[in-house]
Amino acid sequence: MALAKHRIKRELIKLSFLIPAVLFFVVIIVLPFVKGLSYSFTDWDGISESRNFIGFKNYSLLFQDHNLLKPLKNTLFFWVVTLIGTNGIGLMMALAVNGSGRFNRALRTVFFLPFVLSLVLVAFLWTYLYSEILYPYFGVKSLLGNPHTVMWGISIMAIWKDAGYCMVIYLAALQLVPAEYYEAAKVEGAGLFRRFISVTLPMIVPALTANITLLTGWGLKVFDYPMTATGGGPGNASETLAIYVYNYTFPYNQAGYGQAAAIMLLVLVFAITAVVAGLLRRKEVEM
Amino acid sequence: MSNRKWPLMLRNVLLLALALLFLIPFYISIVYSLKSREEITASGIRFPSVFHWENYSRAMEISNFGHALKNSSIVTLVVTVVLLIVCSMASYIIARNSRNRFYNSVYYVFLAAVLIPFQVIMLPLYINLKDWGLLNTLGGLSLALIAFQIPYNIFVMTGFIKSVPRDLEEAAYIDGAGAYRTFWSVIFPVLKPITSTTFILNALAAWNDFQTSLIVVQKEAVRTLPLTQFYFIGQYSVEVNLAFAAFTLSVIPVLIFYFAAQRYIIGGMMGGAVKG
Amino acid sequence: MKKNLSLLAITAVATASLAGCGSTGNDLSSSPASASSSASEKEVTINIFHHLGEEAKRNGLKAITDMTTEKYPNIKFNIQAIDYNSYNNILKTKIAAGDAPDIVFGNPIAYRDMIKAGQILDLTGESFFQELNPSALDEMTIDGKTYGVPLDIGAMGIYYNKDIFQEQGLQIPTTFSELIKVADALQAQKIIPFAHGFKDSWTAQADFQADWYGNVSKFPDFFDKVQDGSQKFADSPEFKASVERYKKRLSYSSGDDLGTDYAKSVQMFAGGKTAMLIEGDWSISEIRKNNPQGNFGFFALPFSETASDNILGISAGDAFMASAQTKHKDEVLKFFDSMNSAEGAKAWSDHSKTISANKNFTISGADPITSDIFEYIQSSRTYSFGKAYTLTGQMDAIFRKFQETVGLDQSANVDKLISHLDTDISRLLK
Repeated sequence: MALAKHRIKRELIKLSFLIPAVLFFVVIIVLPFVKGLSYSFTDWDGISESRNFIGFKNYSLLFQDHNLLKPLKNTLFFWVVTLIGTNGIGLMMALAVNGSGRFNRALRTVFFLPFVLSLVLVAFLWTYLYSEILYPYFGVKSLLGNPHTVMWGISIMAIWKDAGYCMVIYLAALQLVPAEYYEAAKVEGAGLFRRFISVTLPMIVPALTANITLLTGWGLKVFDYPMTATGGGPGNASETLAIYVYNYTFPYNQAGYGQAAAIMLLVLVFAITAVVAGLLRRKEVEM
Repeated sequence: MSNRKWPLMLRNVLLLALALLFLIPFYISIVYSLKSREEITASGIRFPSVFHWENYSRAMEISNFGHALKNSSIVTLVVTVVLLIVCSMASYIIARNSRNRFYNSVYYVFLAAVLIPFQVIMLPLYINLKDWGLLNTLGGLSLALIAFQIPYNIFVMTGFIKSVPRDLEEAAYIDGAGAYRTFWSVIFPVLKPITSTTFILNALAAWNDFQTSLIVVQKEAVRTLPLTQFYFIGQYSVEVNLAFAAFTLSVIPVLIFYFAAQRYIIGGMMGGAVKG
Repeated sequence: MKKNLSLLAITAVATASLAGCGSTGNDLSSSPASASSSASEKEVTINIFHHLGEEAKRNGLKAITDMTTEKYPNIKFNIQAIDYNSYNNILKTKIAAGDAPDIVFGNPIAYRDMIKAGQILDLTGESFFQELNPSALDEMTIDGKTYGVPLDIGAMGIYYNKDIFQEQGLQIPTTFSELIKVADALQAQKIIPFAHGFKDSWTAQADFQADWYGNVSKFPDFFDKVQDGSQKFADSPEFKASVERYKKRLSYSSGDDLGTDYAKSVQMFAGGKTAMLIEGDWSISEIRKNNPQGNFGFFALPFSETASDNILGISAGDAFMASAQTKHKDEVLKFFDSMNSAEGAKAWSDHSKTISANKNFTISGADPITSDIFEYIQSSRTYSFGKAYTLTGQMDAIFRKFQETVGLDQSANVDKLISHLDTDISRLLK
């Protein structure tokens, strides 16, 4: 009896560690999520008092909308380009500044700098970079105004901001690589590239996994960059899925439909992340 | 000798060029913020001939900078402190009970929540906050920001805590210390590498937040810095120099923070992140 | 820039407009009448909210408020300017937050949703309306109730540099093919025909609308029929022709068209770097700011091959409405009174260089550009499109996106885009 009481007390103390975090999470995220899910089965406009249950109609309308293709393509494009660009540049920077010394440390500080800025400010800056620097000095027309290049323009600003973050994660992994490995490879006569493939790469796989997972989440949810830089335009040339959801939920006053689109976005993010994470885990095991 | 030096020189030059590429935007914003409108049109990004410091005082005055700075500071402080306490506790208990099915599934729920797009809860959250009278309050904003950071914090911290040996707390238990005391006096100090990193990332997230603030704090009295600057830049888009002065002003606190804490930011992330 | 940040604001807005309007609307109905009596002598601050981007117009507004304060020392004003692209969103947010400004800039036609939600004060029958041009007043009237007070009459068309035209021996084109000949002749002389500032995409829309709104005179119910589903864009050869002309005009590049913003395009024209600029009357004061003495003129965009068809589409331009949330109705009406007084109207047109909506407006001493527009009005070569363009909300957004896409994407397939436009509109009709 006393023992059982003691156990219950212990379990309650354990729970008390967890409860504050869970409470915040449930109240601010889970409850609204459930509420939102229920909106997606209604024709609610977001304003009026009345809403009717219409089953899966919003979802079926969603799949019939040809305007969904552009945001879908844009979202996937942004994801792939920033995934490769941010990781590639981040890794190169990490390899270049991996080491002690004031020069390396100063460069690390500079490369990480954009990451501390807010997205709004980054987008504000870049609209001016494109129009005030690239055209007058290099004759490169603004990438943001042209429907065919706008997603490149947006991806580049995202890479500029986030590459420093990836760099730091790679640096962390690189520091765990014992120097003897390189020495041994050198003795065997391996060149720079060979050393990278056989020594560095296997050691940074955990960092690679972390970065890819993170950038997949960021990329598929992208909202702020195109919203601030172009508002999804010109036309809908830089509209992403998150903006599509947003437009229907608010300016277009079709909250039910918008919420259904949001749920679909959620499913997409989960599905792609699951596939990517699965692939990475298999690779990690192989290496 | 010279053969070996050349590639190194080349590397350094390339790196400096890349560094320049990262710094140019900051140069532009400072140059633009110090010029008159006419001079921007005439000489673009060339160094200003006269410094128009009054752009800053005007931007500060019109954009209500001091007030917004205060709001941002309050929110950032509340968010970071609450997250530090709440998440370190939760992560600890999750990490130490990873074989318990309940705690494990809570962990996976948090893990999945990292992926939830903000748009999914934007509308219902707005309606809830309105119903609870928390709209247009700094409390409501802090609450929302805290909740959104919880999943990521728990994800990172739990990973770190798993690598902390159990011997420490077991010794404390044997000495008769209770769970709370053990946690705060033995475990919490050991977590410093990861808590300092998450603390800084949380501070950046709260300080720079735009999306949530835009929805939760619409009244002028409770607007945070990014929001104030956003409205200001919007209103003065024709007056580019003032817009850039406002931009530079809002970047300065972040830069000070960054340079003061960068040992912890980069160092801490390098130390803790990959384990997580 | 204008556009960029703007849309972000939508987030806020939207949210607000949503949940906001509905609920605040209820407790509003009673307040204005009861509150107004108490405030006759006490100092009252009236909040004015606008998106006037031109400094000259901001000064004009300041002149009117100063005039009011001079006459009624207890009335003070707090004027807030908001970027055009974020204006609606911020406004809706404020209304939803119960924080609505007393006086709101905007044309009632564009704010029918807010009028429907009971957020705009009905001003029908107020005495100051007697001073106004009847057609401008008509545009302020929806379902028999007058919600807005217009300041001026606006138009979109082509600004041209008279000196360049003279040096090149060019005449004002009276048909579309003449316009193209003029543009080609200019280009052959290495002179840029049109200044394009399409980084702000609304500027491209102005180019399209300057053409299509003149056309609409022949089909006044075009947009009404679009909305009841009886008119497809694809079935209108005139519409397609208008789109093709738009694309043709846009094909004359002025450099980095899509990276140049509105302010810069006006500077290019005012600085004599281009011969023409297709814009609205709101640009007059901006042009003058950059070049007060320049020898400029204005003509209607010749869209047709029949010279007499090429009339100028006009509408009530800048206008103010009163918020239903205001607690100072009397003071708001006093502001409108001084706005419509002879001095008020003169202060506005002097600053803004626009044509006053006051029916006693005379052109003497006006800017030559303004005189050119006024001549169209006096000779009745105008069409008032204000009430013809009736798309709002998502339909309006779709139509504007179409204008951007079709204009800014050189390789766009016009037929395909028009048919997509029809599909998108018809999806909303269900």
